[in-house]
Amino acid sequence: MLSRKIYVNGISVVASGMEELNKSYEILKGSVDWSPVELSKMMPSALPANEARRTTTVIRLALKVIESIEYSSQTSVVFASSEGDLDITDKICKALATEEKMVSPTLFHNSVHNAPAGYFSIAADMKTPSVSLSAGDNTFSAGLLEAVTQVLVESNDVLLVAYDNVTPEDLDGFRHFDYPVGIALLLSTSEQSNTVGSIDVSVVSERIDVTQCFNNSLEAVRVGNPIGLGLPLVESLIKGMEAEIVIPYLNQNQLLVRVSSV
Amino acid sequence: MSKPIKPIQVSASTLVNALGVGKESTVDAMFNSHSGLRNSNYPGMNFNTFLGLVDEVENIELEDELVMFSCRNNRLAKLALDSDNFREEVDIAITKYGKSRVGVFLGTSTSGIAETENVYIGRDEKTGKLPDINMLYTDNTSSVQRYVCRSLGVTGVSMVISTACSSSAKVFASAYRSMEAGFCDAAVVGGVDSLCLTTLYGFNSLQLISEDICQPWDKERKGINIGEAAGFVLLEKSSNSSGIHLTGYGESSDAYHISSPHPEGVGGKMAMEYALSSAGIGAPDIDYVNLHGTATPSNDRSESRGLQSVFGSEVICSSTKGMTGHTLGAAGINEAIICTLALENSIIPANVNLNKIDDQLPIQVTTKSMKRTLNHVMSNSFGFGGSNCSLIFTC
Repeated sequence: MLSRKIYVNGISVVASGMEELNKSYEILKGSVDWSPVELSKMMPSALPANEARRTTTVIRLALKVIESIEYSSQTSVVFASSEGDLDITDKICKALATEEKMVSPTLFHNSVHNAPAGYFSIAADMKTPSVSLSAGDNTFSAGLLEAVTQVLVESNDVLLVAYDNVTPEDLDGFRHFDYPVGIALLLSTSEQSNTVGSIDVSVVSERIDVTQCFNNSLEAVRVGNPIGLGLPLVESLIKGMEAEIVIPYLNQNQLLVRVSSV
Repeated sequence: MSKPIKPIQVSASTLVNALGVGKESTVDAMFNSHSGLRNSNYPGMNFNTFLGLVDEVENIELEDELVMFSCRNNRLAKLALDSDNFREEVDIAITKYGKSRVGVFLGTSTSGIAETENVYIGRDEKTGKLPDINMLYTDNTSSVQRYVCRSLGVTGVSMVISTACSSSAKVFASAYRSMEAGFCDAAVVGGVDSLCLTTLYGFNSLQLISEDICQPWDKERKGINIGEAAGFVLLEKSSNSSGIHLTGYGESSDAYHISSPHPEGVGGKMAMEYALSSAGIGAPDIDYVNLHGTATPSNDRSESRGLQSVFGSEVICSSTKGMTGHTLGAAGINEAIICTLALENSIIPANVNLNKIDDQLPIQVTTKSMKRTLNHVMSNSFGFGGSNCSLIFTC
């Protein structure tokens, strides 16, 4: 068994009421209550204008949450999203329900689950590997586990970007999320000057109480979007706590994350 | 450069594609060079093309207790799980390691989206409401992983990778890492992608679909034929050196364009080079490359450039998409299993439907199947978004 201690060298959260970095940190530290404020259009500054125009809300959410993180050009990326882009699913399915079935080429190439990964690689000019995954309501945990595994086995820095948007009207009754949420964590084998803390992740099958948000007002975000399940981990890292964080995972398992400050 | 990996044993596999249900029909096509593609239609489709359909999927029903997962994609998955003695092989692994130590890593591009297409088509005209649908269990990208875990009775670490046409190649890399990090002892890897209007009309809008049977590497190639497939492989940490092993993988991003490959195949070249270094071998050691070879003009050109820069013109290659069609999110697993069948049966499959090789693509593509002992083979999978993965299997 490998030593599983991994350093967290960057954190970012973008969600309703948490678009501005300093305000997000205040909420995550617990010094300010969270309240919902709609996200802006979040036009990505790192993309050429032509490419930026083609991006969707979901792609912009994923790119926005990465924006404040400083990573090296050798970083691999894990993109985790339960639903990907349901706005596109909605538009394509509407087109396919008409006689002509005219699907827009731009919509189609943006429809792949790894569209944010494609735009990110172009914006950052990074040819490093990236993976785009889903595990339904347990997508944050699956993304964290894949990122941790990559750090442990490949020994490189890994950027985890987890995001899910709200659902368009026609599909909202079948898969409802309360708020858009994006979380990014930069993981590494090495401690650096910007290290926030360290984590050690294991999969446990015994039932332990899932950790709730330390800032009570954030509970609405934790339970209102699959990616929200990562918020207690983010809070504990930002507060510099020594803590054991339990996050729901698949197949009746849970992730136990031991958080240490530096 | 990638670090060398420890060989992982390929213990069992199962495959369903347009050539038939079970690996035997694919082996037959590899020896006899026939295609499973037919000029056929899919409900709601109003243009002409060849498709790689799996007709048997129409007659499959999911287990009573898993009926909420019903969609074409999961029915195709069940068809494969029921074939090639695969369930029995997984049961042996469960007995050996415990159900919580067997991981499941699957790839798909469109999952059960055909169900969502159907609810939009069935919208109530008076109220404007859509008929009921369980999206998490059908449409969601992770649906097939939940279904397969429950159908096989495994509870280990699990996820679905969705990186377009490289999805079910990349699962091998993730499964290897998970075993190496100690999160599981064995893994079911695989991929499932089924026909749907989204991909048919989507690729058609990009003018990437050929009206005729697809012709990878041909001077006159006009684009892809879409196929469907499901395949699964059981991987275990190796206890002996005999049999077939996954010995290398390489992953990269093009960072070039969201739906066009890099014209010089730079990302593909990196993936092939990483795979070689992780296997600890050189380009001359590879006996056969199963090409991504989609038969679009730009894809084949890009792959040819990448291959030439790694192999020169030495290595023998073929695309098997002329037999199965482009099975998109299942292409990685379909062609990985074809590579293991090539090793097992000492056969290089032909690149079928090839009349006149494009002289702009100067690599050795064989139009006839070749009987020979193979040691190391490579499978290439390159997808939209510039997501590349090359795998190496060794006998």
